[in-house]
Amino acid sequence: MTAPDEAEGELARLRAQNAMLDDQLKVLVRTEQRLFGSQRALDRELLRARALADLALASSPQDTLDGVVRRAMALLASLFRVDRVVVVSREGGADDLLVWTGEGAPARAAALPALLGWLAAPQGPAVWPTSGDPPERLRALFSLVEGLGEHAAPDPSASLAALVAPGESDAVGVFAWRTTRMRALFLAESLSPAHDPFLQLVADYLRRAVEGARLAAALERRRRELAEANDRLTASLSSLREAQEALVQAQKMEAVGRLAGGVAHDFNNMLAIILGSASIALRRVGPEGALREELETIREAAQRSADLTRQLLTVARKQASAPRVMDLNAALAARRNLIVRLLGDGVDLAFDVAEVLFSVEVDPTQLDQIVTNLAVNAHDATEGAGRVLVRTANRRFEDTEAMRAAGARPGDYAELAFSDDGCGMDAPTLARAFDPFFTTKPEGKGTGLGLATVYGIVKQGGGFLEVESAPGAGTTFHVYLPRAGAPRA
Amino acid sequence: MDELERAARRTFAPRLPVGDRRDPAAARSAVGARLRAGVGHSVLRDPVAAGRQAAQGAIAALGGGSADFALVFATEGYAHEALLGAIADALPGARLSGCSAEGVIAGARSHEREHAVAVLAVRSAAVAFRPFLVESYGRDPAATGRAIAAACADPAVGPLAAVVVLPDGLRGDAGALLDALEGALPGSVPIVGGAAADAWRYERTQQFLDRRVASDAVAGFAIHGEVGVRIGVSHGCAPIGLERVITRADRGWVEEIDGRPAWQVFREYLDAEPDHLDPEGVVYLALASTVEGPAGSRTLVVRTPSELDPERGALFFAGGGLDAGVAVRLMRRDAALVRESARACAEDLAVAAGHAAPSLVLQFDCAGRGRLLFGERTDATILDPLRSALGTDVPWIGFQTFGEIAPVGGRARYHNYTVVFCALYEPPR
Repeated sequence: MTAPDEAEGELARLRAQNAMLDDQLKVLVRTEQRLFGSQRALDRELLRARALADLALASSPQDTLDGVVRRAMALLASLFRVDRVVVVSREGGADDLLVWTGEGAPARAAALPALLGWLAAPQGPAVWPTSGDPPERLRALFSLVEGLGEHAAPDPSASLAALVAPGESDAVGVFAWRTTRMRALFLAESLSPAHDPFLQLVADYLRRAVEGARLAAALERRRRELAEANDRLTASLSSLREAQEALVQAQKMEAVGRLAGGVAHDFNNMLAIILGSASIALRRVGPEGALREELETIREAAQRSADLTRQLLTVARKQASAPRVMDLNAALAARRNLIVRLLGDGVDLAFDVAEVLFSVEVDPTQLDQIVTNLAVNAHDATEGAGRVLVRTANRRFEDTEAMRAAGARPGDYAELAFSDDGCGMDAPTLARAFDPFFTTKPEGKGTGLGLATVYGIVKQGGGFLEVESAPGAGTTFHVYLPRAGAPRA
Repeated sequence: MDELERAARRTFAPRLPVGDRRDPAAARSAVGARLRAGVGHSVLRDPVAAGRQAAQGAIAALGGGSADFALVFATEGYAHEALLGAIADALPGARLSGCSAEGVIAGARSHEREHAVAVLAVRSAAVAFRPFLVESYGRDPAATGRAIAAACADPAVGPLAAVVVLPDGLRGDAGALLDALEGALPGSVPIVGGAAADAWRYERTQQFLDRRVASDAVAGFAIHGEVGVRIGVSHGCAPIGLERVITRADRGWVEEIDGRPAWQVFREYLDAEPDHLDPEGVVYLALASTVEGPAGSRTLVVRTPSELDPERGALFFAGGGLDAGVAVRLMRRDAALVRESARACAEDLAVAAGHAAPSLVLQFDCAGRGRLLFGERTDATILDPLRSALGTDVPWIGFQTFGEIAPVGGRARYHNYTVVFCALYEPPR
C-alpha cells in the first residue's frame, strides 16, 4: 500500500469515526432535550401542586362561592399568565348563566344555544385555533363575554382555551382564557387532562365549590324558610293568645255588664220609687217641716244611686245614646278647658292632633264621659304633677285574629290617645283596668266605673280600646272610634 | 475545551466607555450634572390607564418633577396609539421612544404577558436623549442606517456617546443596517439595542416616536453628553460538533449547510425530529458565525432561525450576514450557561466600572431566554443575579426582543439568544 493510499484510508477511517461520533452527539443532544423537557414538566407539576395545595389550604368553611371562584381565577391567571380567565356556571338546569369575567360581582346572562349544548355535554378541553376549526362553543363564550360589556377583541389570531368540568348534578364549571397563538401552543399540552391532570383538579375543585355553594345556598334558603315559618307560627300563637285574652275580657265584660245592667234596671225602678216618694214627702213636710233634712239626705243619696245606675247601664251598653257625626279635633278643642281643669295646674298638657282626621259618630255627652274619665285617670296617675299628651290620628286596621276576637272590625278609625308619664300599671292591674268596680284609688275615692264606662261607650259605638302601660313608665289609652259613614259589621 | 468554546462560555463584554474612549475616567470626570432616571410599569389592560400608571410610576421613581425623555416598551395586547398618548399626556414635554416587545423588564420583574408596559423617565442637564424614527427599513436597510446617522449628528447637544436602535424584528437586514450606520457615524460610537417583537406571532412589530406608532421602521435614540457607557453581551450556547460551512443562501434564507438542506441538518439534532419549527426548536438550536476579535481572539455571534420553508428545507435568519461560504457552528442552548454567563457578564461590567452604581441599565434580552426557558423562575434565575451584580436600586428597564444588537470584535453585530446590557454611568463629582 502506497503512502497516498494509506492517507486516503486514514481519512476514510477518520470520517467514519467522525460520523459515528456525530451520531452519538445527536443522541446526547436529543437526550438532553428530553431531560430538559422532563425537568420543565417536573417543575410545572411541582408549581401546580403547590398552587393547588395553596388553593386547598386557603379554603375555609366561611368561603363564599365568589371567594372560591376568584381564588381559582387568580391561580389560573398567575400560573398560565393568561390574558383572561372566565368561569361560567349554570344554575339548576336553567338557561341563565352566572359568569365571572373579572373584578366585581358575577353577571347573569342568558346562554347561547351552542354554549348550553357544550355545558350539557362536556367534550373536554379545547384550544383554538390550534385544535382545528374554531368551535362554535368558543365563539359563543366570546360573544357571552362581550355581551357583558367586557372587552374581548374578536381578533382572529387570538386563541381561546377552555375546559368544562361536568358535575353530578347541574353544577358545571367552565374556564376559558384567551391568549396569543404561540402561548396557546405552549399551553396545548397542559390543557389535555390525559397529559396533565392539574386543570382537571382545578376544574373538579371549582365544580365542587359550585356544588357546595349551591348546597349551602339551598340549606340557607331552607333554614330561612323554616325560620320564617317559625316566626309566622309564633306570631300566630301570640295573636291567638291576645285574641283569647280579648275574648275572655269581652266575655267577662259582657257578663258583668249583663249582671250590672239587670241589677241596675231593677234597682233603677226601685230608686225611682224612693226618689219619687222622697220628693212627695218633702213637698208634704214643707220648707220648715220636721224630718226635711233627713228627707233631703234620702233624695240626694237616691239621686247619686241613680247616677251610678246610669253608669252601670252605660257599662252594660244599655244606656240610650244620641250619636251624631262630629270632628273629634274640634270636639277636643271645645273640651280643652274641661281637661285642663280636671288635670290641675301641676300637669303640662299638650295636644298633637292630625291635620286631617276622620269624622266620628258619637254621643257628645258620652264623649264628655270618655274625656272626663281619661283626664281624671291621668290626673290620678301623675298625682297632679306631670305631663299629658292628647293625640289624634287616622288609623287603618286589617282583618286579624285579635281584631275579630276583640269584636272589632277592620277598617278606618280615628284614634284618640291619652298619654301620661305617671305611675303606670303593673300587669295584674292592667288586666283588670276595665272591670267595673275595680279601682286602685283609696276607699271612697273612686267608684271603679270610670274606665268601665269608657269601655262601654266605645264598644257601644263600634270602636275598641288599647292600653299600654308599665310601672313607672306612664300609661297610654288608645281609643279607636270608627270612621263615620263606614259600613258597620 | 478549545479557545472558541471558552470564548462562547465566557462573557464577552466590550468595555466601551464613551466620550473619550482612550481615557474613560477622564471623560467621566467632565460630567457635572446628575442623570436622574426612574422606571415604572403597569399590567393593566386598559391602554390609557396602563400608560398613565407606568408613566406616573416612572416619575415617582425619578423623585417627581418632569422628564426630558421617556423610553417605552409594551407588549402587543395594547392599542399602542392610546398607550403612547396616555404616557405623553402624563409626561408633558418629554420626547418618547420605544417599541413593541414580547415581554417587558421593569426593575426586578419581567412581564411576559399580553398587557405589560415599562416606562423609563430621565431628566438631565448634561446628557441629552434624542429620539428618531426612520421608516421603510425593509426596503433599504443601508439607507435607513445612514438616515439614522444623520439624525444623530447634532453637535450642539454634546458629543455622541451611544446610539440605541430598536428595529422591526421581522423585516429588514439588520446586518446591512448596522454596517451602514456604523460607517456613517463619526468615530467609534457604540451601537446597542434590540429588535422589536410581538407575542411570538411573527406578524407585526411596532416602533414608537412620541405619539406615533410605525411598523417596518427603526426607532431609537442617540445619547449625547459626557456620560460613561459600558456594554456587556452574553449568550448561553455551546457549540455542537465541528465547524460547518453554509453552502447555499439567499437573502437571509440559509438553504444548505455542508451541501445538505439546512432544516435537515437542524432536524437531526431535535428530539423526535419535528415537522415544524416550534418555539422550543427556535430556541434550542442556533447557528453561530465566528468573529475575529482584538489581538487575534475569536468569538461567536449566535443566530436563531425564525422561519422554515419546508419545501426547500431552508431556514430564515433575520438580520442577514449568513451568506454562502460563511463558516458556522451548530449551537445548542444551555440553561446553566445562560444563567452563569449572564451573571459573569454583569459582574465583569461591575468590576470594570470599579463597582460604581450605574445611573441606569438598559437590558435587551432574547425572547427565547425568558419564560420559555425558565418558566416561573425567570426572574429569580436571570434577573436577580444581574441586579445583584450591578445594583438592586439601579433604574432598570428592558424588553424581550426578537434580536439583540451590541458590538462584538469591535463592530456592531446583530445577535440572537443573547442578552445585551447597556449601563450609563455618571462620573464622580
